[in-house]
Amino acid sequence: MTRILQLAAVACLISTAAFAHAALDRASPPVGSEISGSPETISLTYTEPVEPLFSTVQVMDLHGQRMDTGKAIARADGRMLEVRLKPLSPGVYTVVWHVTSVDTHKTEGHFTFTVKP
Amino acid sequence: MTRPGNKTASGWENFTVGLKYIPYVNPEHEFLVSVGVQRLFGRSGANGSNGAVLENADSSATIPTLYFAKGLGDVPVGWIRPFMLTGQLGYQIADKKLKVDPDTGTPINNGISNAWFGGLSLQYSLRYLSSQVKDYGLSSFVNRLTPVVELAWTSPASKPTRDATTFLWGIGVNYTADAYAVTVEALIPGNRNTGSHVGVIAQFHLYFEDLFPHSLGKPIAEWF
Repeated sequence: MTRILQLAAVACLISTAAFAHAALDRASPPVGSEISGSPETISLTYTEPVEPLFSTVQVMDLHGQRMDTGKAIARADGRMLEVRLKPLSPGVYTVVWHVTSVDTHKTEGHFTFTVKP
Repeated sequence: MTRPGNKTASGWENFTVGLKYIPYVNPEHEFLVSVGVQRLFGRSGANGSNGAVLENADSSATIPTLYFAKGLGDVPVGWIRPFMLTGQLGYQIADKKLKVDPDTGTPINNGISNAWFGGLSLQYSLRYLSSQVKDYGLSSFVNRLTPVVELAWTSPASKPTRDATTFLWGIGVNYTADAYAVTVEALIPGNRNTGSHVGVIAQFHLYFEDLFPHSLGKPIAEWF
């Protein structure tokens, strides 16, 4: 009996890491990157399609001022969200995203990228 | 299952169902606590010689369990942020307690004792690294990997008992795809009661909600 419980315990622990909701697969500009020049848009590609009506992408400067314009537009069969940006001056920008995948699960995350002088 | 000195066993373990509730979540500090209960149905696993090797329990049991998870995403050091620590502590309450002859100590029924069990798991999410810290341009396959180190513990909580305190290490890696996950771990004895040989365990999880997004994957309210 004890051995069964051991295996069950090991099985239970890793399962907390394993779920398959929409995760951010790629971003442009890339996560944590340093880029030259101001990008016109930011695009986030997810591991599964998301619902743009229930998803948001915000880009903020160091003072918390919104640098995105308008709502996120879905592309690539709903796997990509694209948002237009105001002209970005050199500095660090934070991207905060909340998405609802087509199976109704919500996920969120944030990352930064840097515009070099 | 293959163990030194025993036949290779195959078949189902005892049927177990669980219920889980998350009473506390702190997204800012990536911390949550959840409580649950598992119900193990005795005599529902494989029978016969293989079932004996699998230790098909004769007694059912109820196991209240406390879980926690803490991500280190709030630590201001980039490479540390993908770490996550999870743990659980459970108490097995046996339906049929083990009884022994008071004079000889020989078991006179096939019950089981109550038991504590728990464990800790340290994981490093390459998905978190690439999506929240820095994208190093690794392949999508690598970004879906989560290396893991685990320690499982059990200890008898009532007398008489046929069990002993055990520690078992698990070291491996998890791969999470869109509709399934695979985990392979080496099992390393943590004390004499878990033997002296390294074993291996593999798990394959299917996500029905992703395999059947228009039926099981939909909210129940939309089924009708």
